[in-house]
Amino acid sequence: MAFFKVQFSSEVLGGEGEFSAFLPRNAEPPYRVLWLLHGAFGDFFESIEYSSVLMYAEQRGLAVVAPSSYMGVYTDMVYGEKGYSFVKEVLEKAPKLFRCLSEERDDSYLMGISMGGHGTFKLAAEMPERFRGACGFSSPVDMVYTMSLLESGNHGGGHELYDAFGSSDAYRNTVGDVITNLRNDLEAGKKLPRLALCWGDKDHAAPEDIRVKEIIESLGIKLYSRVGPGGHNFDTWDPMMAEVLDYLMEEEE
Amino acid sequence: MAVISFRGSIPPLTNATRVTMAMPDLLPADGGLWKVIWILGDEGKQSDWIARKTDMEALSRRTGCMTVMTEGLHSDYENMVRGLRWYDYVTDGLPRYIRSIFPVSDKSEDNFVFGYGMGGLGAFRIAMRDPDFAAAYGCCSADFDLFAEDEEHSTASYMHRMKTIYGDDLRSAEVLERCDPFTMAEKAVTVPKMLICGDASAQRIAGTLSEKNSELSFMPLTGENALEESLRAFESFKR
Repeated sequence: MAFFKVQFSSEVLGGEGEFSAFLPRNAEPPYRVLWLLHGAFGDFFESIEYSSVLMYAEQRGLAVVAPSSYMGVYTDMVYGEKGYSFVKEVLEKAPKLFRCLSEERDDSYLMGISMGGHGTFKLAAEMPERFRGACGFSSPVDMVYTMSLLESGNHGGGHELYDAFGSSDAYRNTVGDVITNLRNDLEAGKKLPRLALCWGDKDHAAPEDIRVKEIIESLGIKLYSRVGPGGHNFDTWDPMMAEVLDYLMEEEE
Repeated sequence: MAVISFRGSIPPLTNATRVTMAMPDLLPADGGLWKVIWILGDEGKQSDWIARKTDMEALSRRTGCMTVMTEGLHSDYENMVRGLRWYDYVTDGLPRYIRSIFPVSDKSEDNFVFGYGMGGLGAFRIAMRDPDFAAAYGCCSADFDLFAEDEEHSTASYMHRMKTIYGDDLRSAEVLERCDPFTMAEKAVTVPKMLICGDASAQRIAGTLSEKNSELSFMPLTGENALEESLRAFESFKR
């Protein structure tokens, strides 16, 4: 793939932001795009370094665009960077810079690793008309619930989650309240992206993801899910990536 | 400001190469297109070399242009007899690729070429062979005497390099007409707007070409600040 690293003055951050774009060699523009969101406190390089996601994408003719979300928690932090607005800035501007990238819904997919899956489902619920498919790997999709676990001493996260999200009450009914927003989308008759959620059988995120799967399915939303052998790491996620992409890209019935 | 680093393969090159770009902002104003300054780096340097040695972001900001910096290994930016087609890359493959991706203008009046050292030689040859490629050319610190038979240009390693690029017969009329700067200057019919910076050999080339185009300027320039000063001079000259 052709690799571009873009550093620019971000209006949202009030400083420099960064994203990468990978263009496939085996497809003709306009390229379908996989928007790839890294895990907490990482950067765009993380998923590239530890997985074969670029190979899977190129085999399917997908370009990959991966923002380095500041602090990587995909929210406009209570005390910190505007990480969610930055990702949306990249989402808006990258196709205007790279004119070969499609902005069509049917050509647009989201994939998020760990906390990146929160950003993935958050974008999918806020902009269901923008994406055809979205998948998260071992992700705190329902961050309101995750914060409530933290508040009751049942989560391993630290002060950085308070800095980012404030509290479960503060995050409830915001753009980050994914479950509520998915429910609102359904009530508004919006067509949701194809959704997928995968995790490992020894993954600390497994209980949260099992809960989210049950909630989403109880809403009547089809959710593709897979449980791979392993923990919260790329050894677990990588073998599931290609299959998930195939599911998201399947022709709709 | 925005800076883009590229790594990949662009035809007709068959190797991975690097390109460094700088722009005044991530997107051009009002949905327009950027003008482009194509910058050819010196021998053996990577694409970000000029950006590291100068304030390329400031140049982009002051000129309102996207600057596209490329590398040419040890090619003289030529279609090498024993190597890759670097001339076709910088005049066709690279511009075609950049224009297919980014919002940049392909109009001759919106494109400029600057080269330093080996890149100065490359810029000179584009000006001679494809004068309509750009509106103005800056050719700085090039070795225009590269085909001279003096001591400096006769060492074994130098001759090996030359034969790699130009073939075994460095004195053939075909090679000299196509590649020797002095022969090219003498035979040039159309001479575009050019700034030539450098030593006595650059002055001789400029003297020949200035008879064919009044918009040709020579600036004596050598020493360790030559890159910065020649870029500044080109910035003013190309206006």
